Amino acid sequence: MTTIMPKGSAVSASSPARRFHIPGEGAIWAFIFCDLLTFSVIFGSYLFDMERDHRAFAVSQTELNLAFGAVNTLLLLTGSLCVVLGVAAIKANQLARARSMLTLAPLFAIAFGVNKVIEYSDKVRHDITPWTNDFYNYYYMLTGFHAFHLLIGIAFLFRMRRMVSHDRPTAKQFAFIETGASFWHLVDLLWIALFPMLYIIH
Amino acid sequence: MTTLLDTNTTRVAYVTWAALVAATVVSWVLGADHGLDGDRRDLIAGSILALAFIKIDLVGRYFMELHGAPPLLRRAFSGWAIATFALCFSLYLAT
Repeated sequence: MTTIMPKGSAVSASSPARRFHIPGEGAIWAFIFCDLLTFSVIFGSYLFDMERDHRAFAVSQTELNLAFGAVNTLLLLTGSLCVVLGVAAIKANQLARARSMLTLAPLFAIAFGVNKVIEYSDKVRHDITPWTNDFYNYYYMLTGFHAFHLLIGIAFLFRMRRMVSHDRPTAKQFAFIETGASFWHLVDLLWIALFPMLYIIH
Repeated sequence: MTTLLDTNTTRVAYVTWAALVAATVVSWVLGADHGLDGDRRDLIAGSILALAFIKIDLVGRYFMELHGAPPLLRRAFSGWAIATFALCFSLYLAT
């Protein structure tokens, strides 16, 4: 078991206070749960409307490129792995490894964004917009909402990378890094739910 | 101070990532074969949705480090995943 040793850390690994650890600041978990509940409501609304116009939704879904969705899932999962390995490297004070991992993570995130822009462009070129039908209304709203999370996630990742640029992070900076990591994984898990919902099941 | 990289944490991260990638590929393959009608439609959709929420639980547990978090937080997260899966699949079955 390694010890979390950010600069200025006052709690030792053997302290009872370390028995359970909330990853990141408490407020981020309040935000995460609000976000998860919001998405549950939208998923419910989407499936409810799918029931009302099943065949139109299914036909529109077959126009989506399954490969785009699957490759994007793999990109986010790999970005998440880099974040986990980066945070673990910070805990072990292996800053060079932490820098490498936190440099790679946003690259996977950006690759996801580029892939999404290509997919959107292709749809718009074929005159498929949010006003085409109810399915595409949901498609653009859900993926757009997710893309907004992606942009915030990328900003977190760049800030996290900067915090390990010179010296090991302070306890306060490490709390920010864990907060950013938790937010990044939220971006990942939301896509894990969106991918089958929009691209696969009909 | 330099400490050894927690090999257990990194091993768990790699194994979790491999399981998530494998589940994604399985969903991809099942999705390509997912027709509009037929007896297997509900079974395939249910399996794909279940796989997605199992993946989400794995992300929460091992990537978000909820396995070491207070039980209330851990249970709230798993509870959300189970409840949302139940909501989605029951609405899907209504179609």
